[in-house]
Amino acid sequence: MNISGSDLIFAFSAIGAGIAVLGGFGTGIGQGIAASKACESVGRQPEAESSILRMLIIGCALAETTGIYGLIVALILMLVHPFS
Amino acid sequence: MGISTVKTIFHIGPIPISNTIIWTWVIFGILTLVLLLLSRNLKLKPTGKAQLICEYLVDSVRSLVKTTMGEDKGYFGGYFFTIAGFLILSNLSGFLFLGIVRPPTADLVTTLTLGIFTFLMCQGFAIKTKGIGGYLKTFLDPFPFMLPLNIISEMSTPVSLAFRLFGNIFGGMVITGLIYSMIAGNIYTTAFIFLMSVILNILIYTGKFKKVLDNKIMKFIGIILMFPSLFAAFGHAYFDVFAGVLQTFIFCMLSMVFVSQAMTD
Repeated sequence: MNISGSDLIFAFSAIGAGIAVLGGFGTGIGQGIAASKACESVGRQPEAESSILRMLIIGCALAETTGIYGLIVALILMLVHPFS
Repeated sequence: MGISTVKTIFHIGPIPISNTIIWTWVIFGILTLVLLLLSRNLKLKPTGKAQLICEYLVDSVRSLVKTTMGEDKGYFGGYFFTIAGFLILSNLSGFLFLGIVRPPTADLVTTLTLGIFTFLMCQGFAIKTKGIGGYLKTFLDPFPFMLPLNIISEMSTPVSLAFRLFGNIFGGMVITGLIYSMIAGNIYTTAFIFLMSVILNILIYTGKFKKVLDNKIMKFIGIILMFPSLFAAFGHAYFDVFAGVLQTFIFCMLSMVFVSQAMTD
């Protein structure tokens, strides 16, 4: 079987994309913490539900950023082939 | 895969015009046309439904702006109404035309432009409310040697806004494309399967061509053909409708928060 240099580059780009997407791990933990705290505060103060929901959505969006960066790195590695 | 790419269609002078730019202008046209039709012959006491819809949309955006930015900043409602309308139409356009037209927000050009709008608004309104001296003083805020960190944190605002929107929409587009390639190879086969299954099921339930369609084999084929399109429908419903509307809301909310933060402290 003949393996050329560009094949190796493609294979390692795919592995790198898989590692880059692991950044979603921290995002998941952060969003879970935010959602659990939001549930607690709605249970404690049900009349503030709408403003808590808004805060939760903004917080989840901010926590999502690092995961999105990982996703973009993975997509660039897979679709653009910057190293070949 | 059934993913459309950004490609240059033609040039105007030295400027290349890509397919996302053309679709951006189509969305501008649709938005302008719909809002012009809704706001025809406005009256003080509205009689038609169009003016009521119009007033409801404008009022809800303005009340959202007021609750987020403060009671005295309702005049930002127009800007955020425009941004929200453009973003919602462009995010939902991936739902309609995957593989044919690329949604404008799946191109970094569009999202980075909107992020830079927010950045310029932050700087401009900060200068307007604090004066040029007060504005420059905020960069030296806790200690003077924090200046590079403050500049970096200001510059990261448009980048993070742009990449959040772009990553969500483009990631959803790629995953929907993977679903398509998993079930049928490409978008045209999928569309064919979907149309065939819809036609077959309509024929079965309306009862036309009863002789051909009443046997169990044809019914079985109709139900089997429905499964691939169910997968695709789930992908579109989650990544285009749900994530698209949510990202529109989040982009507008974060822009409001950044601008009002720059104006107050």
